[in-house]
Amino acid sequence: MASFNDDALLIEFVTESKEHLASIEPDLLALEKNGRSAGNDIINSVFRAIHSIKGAAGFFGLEALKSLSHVMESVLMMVRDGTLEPTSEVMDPLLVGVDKLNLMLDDIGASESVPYKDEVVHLEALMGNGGEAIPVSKNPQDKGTSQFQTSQNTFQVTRAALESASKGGHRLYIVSLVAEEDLVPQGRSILDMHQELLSVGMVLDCIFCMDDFDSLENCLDTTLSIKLLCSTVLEHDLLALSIKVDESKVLPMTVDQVMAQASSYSQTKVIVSAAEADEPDTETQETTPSNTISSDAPMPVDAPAEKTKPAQATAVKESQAKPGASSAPAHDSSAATESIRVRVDLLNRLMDLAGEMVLSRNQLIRTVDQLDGNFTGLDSITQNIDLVTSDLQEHIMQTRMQPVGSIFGKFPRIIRDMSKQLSKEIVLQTSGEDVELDKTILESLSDPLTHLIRNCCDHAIEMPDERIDHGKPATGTITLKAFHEGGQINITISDNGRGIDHEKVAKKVVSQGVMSDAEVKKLSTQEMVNLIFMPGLSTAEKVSDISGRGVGMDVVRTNIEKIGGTITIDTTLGKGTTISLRLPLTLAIIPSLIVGTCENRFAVPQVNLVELVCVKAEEIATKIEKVGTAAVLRLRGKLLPLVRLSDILELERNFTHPTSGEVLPDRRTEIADPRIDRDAVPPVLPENIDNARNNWASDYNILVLKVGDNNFGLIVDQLFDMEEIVVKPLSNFINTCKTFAGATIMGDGQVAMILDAGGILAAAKLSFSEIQAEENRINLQNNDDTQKKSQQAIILFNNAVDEVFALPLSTVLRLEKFSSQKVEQLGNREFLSYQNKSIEIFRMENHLPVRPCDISKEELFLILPKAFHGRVGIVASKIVDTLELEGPLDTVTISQPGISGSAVINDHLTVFIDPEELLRDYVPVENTQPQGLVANAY
Amino acid sequence: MEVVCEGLETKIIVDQDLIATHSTQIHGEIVNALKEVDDGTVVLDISKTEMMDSIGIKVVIGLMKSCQSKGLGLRLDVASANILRLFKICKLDDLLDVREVVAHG
Repeated sequence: MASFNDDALLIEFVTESKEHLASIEPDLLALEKNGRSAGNDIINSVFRAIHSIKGAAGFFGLEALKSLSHVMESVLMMVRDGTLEPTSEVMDPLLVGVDKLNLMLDDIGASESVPYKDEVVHLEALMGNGGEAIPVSKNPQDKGTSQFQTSQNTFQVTRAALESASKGGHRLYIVSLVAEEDLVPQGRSILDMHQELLSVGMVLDCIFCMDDFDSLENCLDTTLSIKLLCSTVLEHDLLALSIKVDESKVLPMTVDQVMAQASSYSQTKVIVSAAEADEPDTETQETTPSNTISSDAPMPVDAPAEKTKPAQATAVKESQAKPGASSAPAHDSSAATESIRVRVDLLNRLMDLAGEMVLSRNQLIRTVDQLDGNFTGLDSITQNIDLVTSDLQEHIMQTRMQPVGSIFGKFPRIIRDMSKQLSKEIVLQTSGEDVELDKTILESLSDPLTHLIRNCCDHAIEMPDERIDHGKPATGTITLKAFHEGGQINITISDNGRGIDHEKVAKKVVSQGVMSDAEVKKLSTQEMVNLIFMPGLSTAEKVSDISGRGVGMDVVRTNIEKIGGTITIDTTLGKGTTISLRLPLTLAIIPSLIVGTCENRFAVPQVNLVELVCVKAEEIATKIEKVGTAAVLRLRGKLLPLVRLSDILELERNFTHPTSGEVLPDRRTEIADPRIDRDAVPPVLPENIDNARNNWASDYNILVLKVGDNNFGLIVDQLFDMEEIVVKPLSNFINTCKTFAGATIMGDGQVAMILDAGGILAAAKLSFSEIQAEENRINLQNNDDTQKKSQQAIILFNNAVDEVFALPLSTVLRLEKFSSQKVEQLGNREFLSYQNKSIEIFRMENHLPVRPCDISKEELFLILPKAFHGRVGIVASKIVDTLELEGPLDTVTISQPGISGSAVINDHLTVFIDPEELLRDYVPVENTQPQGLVANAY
Repeated sequence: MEVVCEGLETKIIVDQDLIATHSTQIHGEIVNALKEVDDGTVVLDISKTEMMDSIGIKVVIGLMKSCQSKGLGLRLDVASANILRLFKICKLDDLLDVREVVAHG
């Protein structure tokens, strides 16, 4: 037997066992979903993994690990041999067993103190009953001794939950109350106390001390002690004050202290009624939906594991969801690649060294560039070092890359358990598991993603009945996708649930007094939705043990932003929500643009950079406007809010006087203020002034940066090169400064701060809703203009005195006044001579059912349509008016060739002529060209 | 309160709130009812009960202990959302067979 002193071996055992357990969980879920069709490979794989853990645990003398894995192995052997079906009833205790093994491995030194006997008893009972039911004992002689788990003296909470609850300044407390002293005299109930604790923090668990109770007869004389495990940001005394109990009742705790007396959470409830023990009849209840409430067939509110139907939740990969591809993850041992285990700290050290190498390479290149004289071969050596360094850095970074599948893998279990807990039907679909992310980012992503998935289950996906009522399938779908886009990793969490009600969120914010009603009304729909990121906001009607305490989304956003990512929400009420996370591939070495402001250099990560825009000094006054208090640049029809980096960082701006060359403070407060008289002649600058910052007519260099859905422009003085920079963490004394994401060392050895686009945006306090409103107003105005342009200008004229006709002005070449005496006849055709050209006269009465022109009039008009190049004119007795026509024509009432429609204008029916169609047969359009017009016309 | 025997099930139907005001009376009645039960399952039907305070909890825990010592099964039929929530918060639903039922008229 090995001793515990053999630490290296033990650590290796823990690492390997953890890996085994990580692979077991999805396999057990696949077995549960697909039954025996999952294939023997999976069963064997799980069996081998547990067997390995058992063997090694025995070697190290870890009895608890060995005993539990032994009984799990026995159950799995029965599954493998076909004597036990891999049903939900069998998988539940196995999964709980996996949790317990994990718990033991988390603190291997204390593994023997983890309680596991219940699990062993449960698994043994399972073997004895062939998986049909899981009573602890069916032996009538045992009845009464093991039917009840009648005490709950320990908190059921995991270390992870405790650690999560004690993050962000939260402290753990146990509030010990005696009902008769602390609740009854004040007329408070346990629920009241629970609610009071929720108002100041989280309640992690609650237990009654039942050991003092011995029988029903004496129960009223027994005091009822209650212990609540909670976490809050409040100090010990403030917590006592806020829940109105004596300070002695509130006991501050650490995670270790709680763990020392806590048992891990067990889903298995060792309960069975005597009737069920005698007459196991699980069939009826297994086939009854658990969300059905019927007085005839009463269902458990949270049915014991042995009585629930097989897991409602199923988790499938998209590929596995396809027909014929349902049989579980591939277990292709031949695909195993050669690998060795390397310690993470060694990889981290390698990464640091690669970073230093990159810095040195940058410095070398800069130095070589500045060298005078010819050094044979130096350039090629430098080039080679450059290439090798880049290659080295890339490969070392690859060693830290891990597929997101490693965290996606835990969600099927979460969905499965939560579906049961919430009586919902939820399917998880995942894709892009192979997409790789830096280990640090991946680790930081785990908690936020888990929170988002739990939120989806708890709040987004409706109960099956509600979904059916809304015309949706009873089963809700959560889709988890990872994909590359624009040099970043995108992870989306979509659901087809109820969506986020932005008005409800807004009301909640107002009711909590965080914002006024007037402030909320100014927000756009998206901004209202984004209010869910505010600390402490929860729209959940009820606080559940899953979510709803309002401590989640702000933490999610903070964590995502901490790793250089962004989070956006796209939601449609009643349809569902998609939450998108955009993350950098790595945090260690990032391509960045180096910029300068006020003699300082800064690095802007390329992932935030959309484009660069230069506004010439002489265009500043015309291109930059103000909306509210913000300066905006109109960029391709959109308003881009602008901020000066120097203003955000409170750096003093200077400029060099154009004539004296004196450096003076730049007193311009508004971005839109030009520094120069645009008509002035540029003065001659002193020779030593050669950069844009000091140039008298400095242009604006604007970096268009993207943060979430919002773009904004950051004005800097100078633009330098793109460089791969090595991110160095900020010192403690400035790491709370939100405008910086880190620091880096430049090629010349100088330090440059890395700008955090999100932090700058927050510091600028830009009101995107105001800018959006202005943009909408401008768009609306543009639409009005377009609409106006679409109004048709028409000319109204008479033929007979009381009949009104109209022509679009755009079709008219010109109008000619003529005397009827000047008309010349040729056969039955009429012509008018005008400036040595002949214009044929077209009388509408000869071609349309209209009354003839008033021939008594001496003076008539000819309307010459454009299409006929002035060779034909339509006779009009009077030009009535020209006006703008809005709205469509009536094309039904009067319909015939040559007439495009009619309308009532100024109370008169007006017939609209289509000159091209009317005259086409008379004078074909193609024959109206000036050359040979008349000759070709007939 | 009413006691109904159906096969191996003895149903104790409580028609009042399990609160301090009525606790002594209800407690006495349940004690008496339990004396008559020797085997099978006791069903405490509190589907008409809307409220339960700490005294009610004590009665439930006491009943659980007595059933355990007598080798009886125990089930609780509950309709009130508040009581169900209370049981969930205190994890009594982990220890007991609690079933959600529709409230009797």
